[in-house]
Amino acid sequence: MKRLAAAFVLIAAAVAITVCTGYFFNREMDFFEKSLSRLVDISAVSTDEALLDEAKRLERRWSEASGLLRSVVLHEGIDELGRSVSSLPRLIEYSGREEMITECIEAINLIKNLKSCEKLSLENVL
Amino acid sequence: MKIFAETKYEGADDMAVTLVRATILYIIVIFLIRLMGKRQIGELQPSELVITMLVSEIASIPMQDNSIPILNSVVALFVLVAFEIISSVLSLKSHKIRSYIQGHPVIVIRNGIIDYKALKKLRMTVNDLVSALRQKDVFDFSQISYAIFETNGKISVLLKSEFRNSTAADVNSYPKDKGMQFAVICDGEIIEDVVRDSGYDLSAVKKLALTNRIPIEKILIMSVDSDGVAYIARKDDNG
Repeated sequence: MKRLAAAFVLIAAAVAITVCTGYFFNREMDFFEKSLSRLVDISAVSTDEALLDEAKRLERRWSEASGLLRSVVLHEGIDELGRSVSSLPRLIEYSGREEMITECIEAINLIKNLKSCEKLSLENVL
Repeated sequence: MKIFAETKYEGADDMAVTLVRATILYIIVIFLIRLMGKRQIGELQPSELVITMLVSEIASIPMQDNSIPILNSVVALFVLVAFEIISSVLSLKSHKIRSYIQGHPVIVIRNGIIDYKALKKLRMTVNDLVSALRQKDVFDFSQISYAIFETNGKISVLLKSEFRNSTAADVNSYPKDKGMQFAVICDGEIIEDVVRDSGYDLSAVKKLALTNRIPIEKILIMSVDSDGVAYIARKDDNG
């Protein structure tokens, strides 16, 4: 009976790990998707300084979250997303808003792709 | 020079990560294997053997590659071992489930006659059967009464009565059964679990050791049976 209880504890632990990592991943992805969309939206009306501040804030948040994201998700897209988010301040400073907007849209698409890849669906299971 | 130093440092860091990951996985695997229960490799059911191999395989993946999240493996290990335990508990409770998961023994030789249909069902050739019998030291088919393939893939053989080893009972001799011997002292230390199993208590074991006039710390091994001390060896007896 003890063994059976231990087996159910193991299953509960596995489910808990899965749910927690899924929650963390979705929360972070939602945050970056919204923040990148916001960056695109405000790019038409904001000053360069405000945009740069926003991009740097995003970069800092990425450096905080990326370690844990990499430890729960095995996908090259995470590194690509990191490169995109980190390149935003440089693009605003040296390249221009058009390039920054393109990078943001690419990053948003990457996030959508990552979300669908990590979703519990028949496709992914198979 | 600076680049070299940084690379060296990163390499060492990577090693440290491997060290920690290997330690974590070792603890998890040992815990899970203990939870699965004790069985020797040769006694494992096919499903248990597969699970054991899967456990080692899954645990080795994040150990070899630090970029693979350890949690992925941990979840897979937990689920596999949990299902293995659940299926083994269900097997204990229900004969139907047991025969479905583990299969059932198949009689391949009945009253000295090979059951070809049973062999075909097992997808075994006569050569396989002969080989399995040879490994049980049976070289003469005519001596066999029954041969049964067990669920763990081993063969059990019952020889005809005239070819079986004779026992004391065959000659109407019934020697006194002293029961099993328990090694209650090993390497100068009283093993309390074994003392409990032996039916003696701690003071009785100490007394038994004293009657032999050997201090406990000087005893290499002392085993007891229902009659008292069955065997005792001093540490210095072996040089």
